[in-house]
Amino acid sequence: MIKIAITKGRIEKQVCKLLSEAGFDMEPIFNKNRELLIETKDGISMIFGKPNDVVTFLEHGIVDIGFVGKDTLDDVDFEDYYELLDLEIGKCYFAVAAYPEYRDKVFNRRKKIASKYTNVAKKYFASKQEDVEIIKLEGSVELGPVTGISDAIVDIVETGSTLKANGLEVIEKVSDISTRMIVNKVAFKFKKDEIMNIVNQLEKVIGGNQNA
Amino acid sequence: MEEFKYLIPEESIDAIITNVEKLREIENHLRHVFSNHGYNEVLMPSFEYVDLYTKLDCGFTVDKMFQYINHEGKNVAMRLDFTIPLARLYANSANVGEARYSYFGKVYRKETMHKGRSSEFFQGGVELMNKPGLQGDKEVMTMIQESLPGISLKNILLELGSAKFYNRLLELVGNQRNELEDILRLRDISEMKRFVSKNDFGDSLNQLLLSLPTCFGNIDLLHQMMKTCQDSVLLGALQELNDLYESLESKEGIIFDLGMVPTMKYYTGFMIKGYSDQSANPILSGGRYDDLLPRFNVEKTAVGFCFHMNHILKAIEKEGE
Repeated sequence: MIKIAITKGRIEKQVCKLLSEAGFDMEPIFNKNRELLIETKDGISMIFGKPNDVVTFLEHGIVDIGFVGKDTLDDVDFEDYYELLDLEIGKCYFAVAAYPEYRDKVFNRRKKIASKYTNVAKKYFASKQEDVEIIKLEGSVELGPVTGISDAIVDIVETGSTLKANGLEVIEKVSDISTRMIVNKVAFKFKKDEIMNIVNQLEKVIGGNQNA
Repeated sequence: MEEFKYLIPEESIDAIITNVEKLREIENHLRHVFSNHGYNEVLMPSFEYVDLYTKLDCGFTVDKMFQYINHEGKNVAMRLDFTIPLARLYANSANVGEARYSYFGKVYRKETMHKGRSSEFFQGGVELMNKPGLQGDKEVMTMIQESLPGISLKNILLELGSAKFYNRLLELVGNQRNELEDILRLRDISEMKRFVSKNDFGDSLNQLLLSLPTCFGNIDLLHQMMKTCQDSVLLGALQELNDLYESLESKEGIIFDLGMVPTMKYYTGFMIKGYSDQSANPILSGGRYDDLLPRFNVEKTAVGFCFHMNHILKAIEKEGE
């Protein structure tokens, strides 16, 4: 029995589609209502949760495999997992965004950066040897520059349409994001064959899904 | 509100009540095995200078330490590990021959809050000083194997890796060593493919690197790798693992992981991790670290291991369910 945790929502849909293309029975998942735990014919049991919780369950050995966005792995200081595969789905990127004037503006103080991903933001500016003030916002981060609480934001950019609608633009790209398959380190030792079977099947269909 | 009357700090480990007897039983069994092999139990101090852990460039970071500034104005940390203080003890003793130390006690490491982790770890282990090479390796491996029956867990894997192998790999990729280190730490198959196609290290090394993220298995895998390995230093490291394996009376549960990344910078030879299918964390870890005593200006070798008693106890409780 292989136990899997999947991030609810968009990642869940894309990963299940990919697993289905890879030959795994996903019918019970596609037909589910509000159940949080589902078993398939292939002897896979799946739970669905918030991104951070997927990693928490995995590190505690509750599940063997997790599917989660790179954004989550980048921002939270989890370390007890293997990141086996880049599924190349759910592609987007972290970026610094602001009003166009930000580029040429001279700051006589620390810049204020709003983000939901405070660690990513902090690490990025530190890597550029810049000391900034980070303000945590939980959502609609674009409100940072719009309300003036921050000079810029660090956020996930997919199409950029929300930025554009608010007069903001991408200033710098920070890093790429996509969905990853992570594995519990000890489970990998005891269930290598089962886990590698999923890896090998997935590898055959990765990359064929660019427009999903 | 007098919260102190019923709350404990988040750093604290919950009081162990129900299985203390079991824990002491295992501890005594280990103590028995260790003393049978001539190891002297040492009670080590609870406080150490932060410099001891950070200035030797072993890989310890201050963010894990519980520390305060003492009356000298120096930073003092609660014991973070036993190996470094015992290396200091040996380096400053008149003894320049073989020395055998064992220890039981807690180490304290800050962990992320609200992840279900505690910051107190109960360890029991040994250090063997100045017994180089296979003879020393074999001695500690034999002790590990003799210890296992007393732990009463059904499924245990003993996984061997090689720091010599790993360090040579880093040499072979030259400037790209940090990137390789990250990839191996995460076992990132996709990133390894990108890494190899971006750099192209030649057919033989390319193939080896691509296999590393999932390069673990039984003795057949080690033999297979020895057949295809072309670099003499890498091959020598694999040969050492094979020699160690051959020297052991019992081969039960032994597997090899050629992608194993050293947890500390001072590892030089074989490395070992013990796994139970009931524990999400290793139940034992150790290896040969001939690079440690030289950091104390003593040109001697060292090898050792420790059992992670909390994880063992948890696994036993889980197996009993």
